[in-house]
Amino acid sequence: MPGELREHIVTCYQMWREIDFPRPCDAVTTIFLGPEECLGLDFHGIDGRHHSRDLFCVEGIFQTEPTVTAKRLGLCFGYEFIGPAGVLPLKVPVALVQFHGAKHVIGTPRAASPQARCAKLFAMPLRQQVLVLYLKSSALDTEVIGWSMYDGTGKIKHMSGDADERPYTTGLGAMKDGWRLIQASQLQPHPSGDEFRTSYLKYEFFFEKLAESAATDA
Amino acid sequence: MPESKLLTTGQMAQFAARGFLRFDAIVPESLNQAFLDDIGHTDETAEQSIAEHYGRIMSSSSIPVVPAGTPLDSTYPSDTPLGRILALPEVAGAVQSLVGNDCLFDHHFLHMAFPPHLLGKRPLAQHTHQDSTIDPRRAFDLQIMYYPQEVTADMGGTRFIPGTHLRVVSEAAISRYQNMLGQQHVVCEPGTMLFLHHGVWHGGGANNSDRLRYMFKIRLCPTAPQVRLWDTSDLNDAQPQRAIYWLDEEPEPDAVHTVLTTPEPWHENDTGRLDYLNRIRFWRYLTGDEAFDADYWVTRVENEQA
Repeated sequence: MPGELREHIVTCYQMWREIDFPRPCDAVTTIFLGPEECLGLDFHGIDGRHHSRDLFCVEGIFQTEPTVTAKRLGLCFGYEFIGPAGVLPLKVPVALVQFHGAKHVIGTPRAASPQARCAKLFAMPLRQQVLVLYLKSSALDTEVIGWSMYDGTGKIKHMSGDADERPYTTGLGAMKDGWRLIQASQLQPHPSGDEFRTSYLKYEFFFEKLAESAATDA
Repeated sequence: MPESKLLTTGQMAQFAARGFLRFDAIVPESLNQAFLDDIGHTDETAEQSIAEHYGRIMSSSSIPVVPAGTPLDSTYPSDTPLGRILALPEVAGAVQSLVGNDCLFDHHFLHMAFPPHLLGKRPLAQHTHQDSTIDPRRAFDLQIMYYPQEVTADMGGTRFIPGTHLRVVSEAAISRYQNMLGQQHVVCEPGTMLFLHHGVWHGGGANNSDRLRYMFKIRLCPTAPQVRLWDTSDLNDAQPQRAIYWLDEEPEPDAVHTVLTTPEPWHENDTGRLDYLNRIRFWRYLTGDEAFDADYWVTRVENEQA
């Protein structure tokens, strides 16, 4: 196991140990994900038996205390584990450990259910998606005449000229689709003698959405 | 002096309103091929690297190294591909009509958009920009863009936004504008040329094809007022004002008044009207007629009684 990877696992493990989980379950599964592929999976029963699927060697971290690990992790969730053989008759939480570059992210693929106190620890990190709309006037319900998008999740690299069709007809249309307005251009008086000069687009509105992502590329 | 085919009043009005004129396949294929041969273009599959390609062009091309401010007449030898292209009657006529026969050479550049296999990474589009720097003149420079090959949609031809030329902005400050309603992408036959006002917002597209894309740009500067340099035989100086709202019939689409007051898709409600005013004032400059107006836009705001 690469030293860096091991260090990440230890870090995650230490974080988990400090959690006081409220509900019991039968086992815990930990999936280790790299930036491109699944690095491995580890499976623990709370009866003390260690059922490693041997897809990845965790080198004694969980083997030394599988029961404690399972209790501490498993009490939180209680998800069914869907493995290669189908759904196991166990209540099994699934924790994700993702490795991306030099950073690690821990979370769950079913983030809607974790207890609130665990949600922050296990949720995927949020990234900002920004939509910039240029409208025909200062009113949000007027037509879109220009648009730009910047995706902080890194999933899509938007660039100049990449779309001839506008994403929304009006600014209000974007709001109805869940975009939150975070900035609007101000209406400025026109300097004397310069009233007729045209320049930058005048009605600029910034919107955002927050999206879960493991992407950490700069 | 080469034979020239001057622009018409209708073409000049279009240029005044939208900032560009496009001539498709104006350069014959033999000249396009001569230009490509001259710059050392080879089959893309034979290219080794971007540096190698640039090196070949620098060492073998007849594209001259010319100081800024050189008269255009002295810039391109008449027996070179570029000299022959600029001597084509339509090209010479457009140059004469827009910046005059005594115009000066500013600079030229062979833009190359490399495909992914030569670039070694995903190509990115150039940000939208206005060339040079803040330029509040009423006079204008001419930018000629020449496309020697066919440009397909996936080759990422030049993107430009008609009607932006009179907007005074600071070069790359408009990079944030990724897309605008009415933007155009140059997809064209070989030998197509664009004649652009220097202020038109534009940017190179991402070349996602397997071919190199070339665009040769020449910037020219006037040395005298750009007044009535085109074929003005069809210019009607006495064009009367027309009724503004209560029209009995559709406006004549090619009339100067109509062309100068036709909105662009990206126009804002209020500043689109300011663009009309600026077009009208630009037309005053081009015609030397300081009383010209269309739909009373400028007269109205100049009506200051002593």
